[in-house]
Amino acid sequence: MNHGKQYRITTGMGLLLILCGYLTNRFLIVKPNRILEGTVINMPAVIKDKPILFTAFFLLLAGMIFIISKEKIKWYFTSAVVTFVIILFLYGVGLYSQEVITDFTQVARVSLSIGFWFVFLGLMIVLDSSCHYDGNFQVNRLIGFLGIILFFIFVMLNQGYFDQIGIIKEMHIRNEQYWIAVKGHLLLSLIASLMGLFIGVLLSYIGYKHKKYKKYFILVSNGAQVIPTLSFLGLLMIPLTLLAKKYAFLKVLGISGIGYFPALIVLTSYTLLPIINQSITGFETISRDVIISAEAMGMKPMEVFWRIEFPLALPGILSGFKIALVQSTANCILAGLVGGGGLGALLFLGLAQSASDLVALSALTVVMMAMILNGILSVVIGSMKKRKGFI
Amino acid sequence: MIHFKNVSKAYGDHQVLKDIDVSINKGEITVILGPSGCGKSTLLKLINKTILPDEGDIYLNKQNIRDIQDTTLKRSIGYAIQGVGLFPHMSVKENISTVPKLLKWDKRTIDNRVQALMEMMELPETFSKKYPIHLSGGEAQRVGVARALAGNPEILLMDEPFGALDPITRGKLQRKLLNIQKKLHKTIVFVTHDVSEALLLADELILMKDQSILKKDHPYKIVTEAKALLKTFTGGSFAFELLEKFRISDIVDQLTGLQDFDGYCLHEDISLKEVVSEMILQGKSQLTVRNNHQYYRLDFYSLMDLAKRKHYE
Ligand SMILES: Nc1ncnc2c1ncn2[C@@H]1O[C@H](COP(=O)(O)OP(=O)(O)OP(=O)(O)O)[C@@H](O)[C@H]1O
Ligand SMILES: [Mg+2]
Repeated sequence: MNHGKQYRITTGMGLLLILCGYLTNRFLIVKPNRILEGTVINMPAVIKDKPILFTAFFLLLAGMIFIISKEKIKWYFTSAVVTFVIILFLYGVGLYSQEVITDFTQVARVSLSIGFWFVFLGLMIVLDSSCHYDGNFQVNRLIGFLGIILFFIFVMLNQGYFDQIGIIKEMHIRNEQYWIAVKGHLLLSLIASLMGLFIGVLLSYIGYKHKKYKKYFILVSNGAQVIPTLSFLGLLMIPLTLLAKKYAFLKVLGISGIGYFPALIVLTSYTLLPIINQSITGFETISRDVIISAEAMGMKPMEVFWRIEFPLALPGILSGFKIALVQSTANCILAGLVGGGGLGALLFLGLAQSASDLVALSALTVVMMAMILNGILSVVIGSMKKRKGFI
Repeated sequence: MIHFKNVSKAYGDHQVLKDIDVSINKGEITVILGPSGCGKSTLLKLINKTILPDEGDIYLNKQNIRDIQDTTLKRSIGYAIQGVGLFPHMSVKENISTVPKLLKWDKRTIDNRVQALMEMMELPETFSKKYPIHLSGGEAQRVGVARALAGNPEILLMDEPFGALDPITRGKLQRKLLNIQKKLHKTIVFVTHDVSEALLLADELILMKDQSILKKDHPYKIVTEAKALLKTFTGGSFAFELLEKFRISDIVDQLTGLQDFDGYCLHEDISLKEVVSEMILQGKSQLTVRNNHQYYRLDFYSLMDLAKRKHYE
C-alpha cells in the first residue's frame, strides 16, 4: 500500500475519534467534590462558551480538508497545525474550567470525561500519523512537537489554568505523595530494567558463545513472561516471607514477602525476554569475519568482548532495554498491590475511593512516563547508529 | 622460518588438509596457488593458531607454536583475512590502528603510522574518518591490508588481499608490495588463485590441490619444469605472466649497451611482457630500448633467459 495513503487513513481515524468526542454527552463533568456525581457538560456547550476552542476546531477542520484534498501532502505543516490545535484545545478547556467553578473551595472541580479523552487521543493520533513520511517514522519530529506541547502544558500549569481540573487538583492536594510516587515508580522501573539488562546481556552472551545453552535461556525468559503478573507476585510472597523469617539479615535489607522486593523480582523477570531476544540477535548478527580478525590480532576474549562484540551488539541491546523499560513502567503499577509503592499505589487508592480523577492522574502519569522514556531512548539509539556507521 | 610437519586438518568427516609437510623461508614471499576449496585459507589459519591442526606440528623459528602464547603469536603476525572483516563500528583510522593500540604504542607514532600506511595503500587522507560501510569492496580490502601491516609484524599472512581490485590498482599495489618487500624483507605468505599474481609476487611458489601440496619450488622452475602441472591450473599463457615480473630497468645490468643509436626505441620502463607485445605488434624479433640515456638491444630469443637469470639472482 502507498504509505501516504495509509497515513491518510489513520489521520481520518483520528478525526473520526475527535468527532465521537464531540458527539458524546460526557465531555466534562463539573463536580461539587471528588466523589459525588456532578453536572455533565458536552463539547458543543463548551465551544459555545469559549470561542478559542471554536477557532481551534475550525482551524483543524479547514487544515485537514485542505491537506487531505492535496495530492502532495506537506506532513511537516500538518504536524505544526495539529500541535497548535492541541495547545489551543487544552488552553480552551483550562479557561472554561476556571470560569465554571465559581466557589473557590478546595473540593469543587471539573473532571475530564470520556469525550475529552476521545478528542485528545484523536488529536494525538493525527499528530503521530503526520510524523510518518514515505513509510519512515520521523521520530525526531514527533519528539520535537511533543516537546513543544509539553512545554506549553507546563507553562499553563504554572499559570494556574488547570487548577480547577480534577486531576491537577488531585495532584496539588497530594503534591508530596504524588512526587514520591512518581520517583518511586521511576526508580523501581529503572532498577528492574537495569538488573534485567545486566542479567540479560550476560545470559545472551553465554547463549551466543555456547549455542547449547541458548535455548534454555530463551525458554526461561519466555516462561517468565507467561506467568500472569499477579500470580507471580502471589507465588513469590510465601517463600520470601519464609526466608525473611528465617534469616534476619534479609529483613534488614528490606527483603520480605511484600514491599518493593517481590515487585523488583517480578519486574526484572519480565524484562528478560525483550532484552535477551534483542541482545542475542545483536550478538548473532556480528559477522564471523569480524570476530576472526579481532582474534587474529591477538585480542584476548575480554578485549574482543569490550572492543568488538559489545559495541556492535549495543544498538540491539539498547532497543531491548527500551522495550523492557517501557514495559516495566506499565507493569510497575501492580507493585502498588504488594506495597511496592509507585503510582500503582495511588491508582489503587483512587479505585478504592472511586475517585476517578486520582485514577486518571496516576494512569496518565504512567503513560507520559513511558512515552518520555521511549522518546529519550529512541533518540539515543538513533543517534548512536548514525554516529557509529551502522546506517 | 615456518615449518609444517605432517599436518592434517578435518572439519567433521571432511578432510581439508592431508599430511602437509612444507617449509616457508624467512624474508621471502611464498605464494600459495590453488583452486577454490583446496585448503589454502585453512593452511594460513593454522599458522597463527586461528585453528589448531588435528595432527602434526607447526614450528616457528624451531619453536612449536603450541608452546607460544596465543596472543603473543597473533600480535607478531599480520593477517589480512579473505573476508576483510573490518570492524564496522570503527572508522578507517581506528581500524588500522587496532594492533598498534593493543601494543600500546604512543599516539604520535600511531598517527604517523596510519598516515603512512594509507598513503602506501593509495587511500586518500579524507578516508580516515569513513566507516567501513561507506567503502567500496576494493577500498575495504586495502584498509584490511593496511591494518594487517600496522603492527609492523615479522610475518604477514595475506589471503587474496587484492581479489576485489581492478587490474590497474591491483598492479600498482602488487608493485608496491614488491617495493616494500625489497626494503623490509618480511616473511610473507600470500594466498591467491590468480596465476599472474602468483608468478609476479612469488619468490617461492606452492601449488596446492585437493587437500595437499603438489609442488613447492621457485616460480621459474615451476613454469619451465612443471608446465603440464601448471596448465591444469591455468591454461597455457603462464610464460607471459613470468615475463610480467621484470621491467627493463631490472635486467639492463645483464646487457651490454650500444655505442650509439638513432632510430625507433622504447624509452619507458615497461615490463618484459609489454616488450613481447610490442615485438608482436611490430613484427620484429629485436627491439631497442633506452634506459638512463643508454641504449640496449633486446632479442626475443634471449628474453626467457634473462628472466631466468634474474630469477636465480
Ligand atoms: N569452519 C569450517 N567448517 C567446515 N568446513 C570448513 C570450514 N572452513 C573451511 N571448510 C571447508 O574446508 C575446505 C577448504 O576451505 P578453505 O577456506 O581452506 O579453501 P580455500 O582454498 O581458501 O578456498 P578459496 O580459494 O575459495 O578461498 C572447503 O571445502 C571448505 O568448505
Ligand atoms: Mg580461501
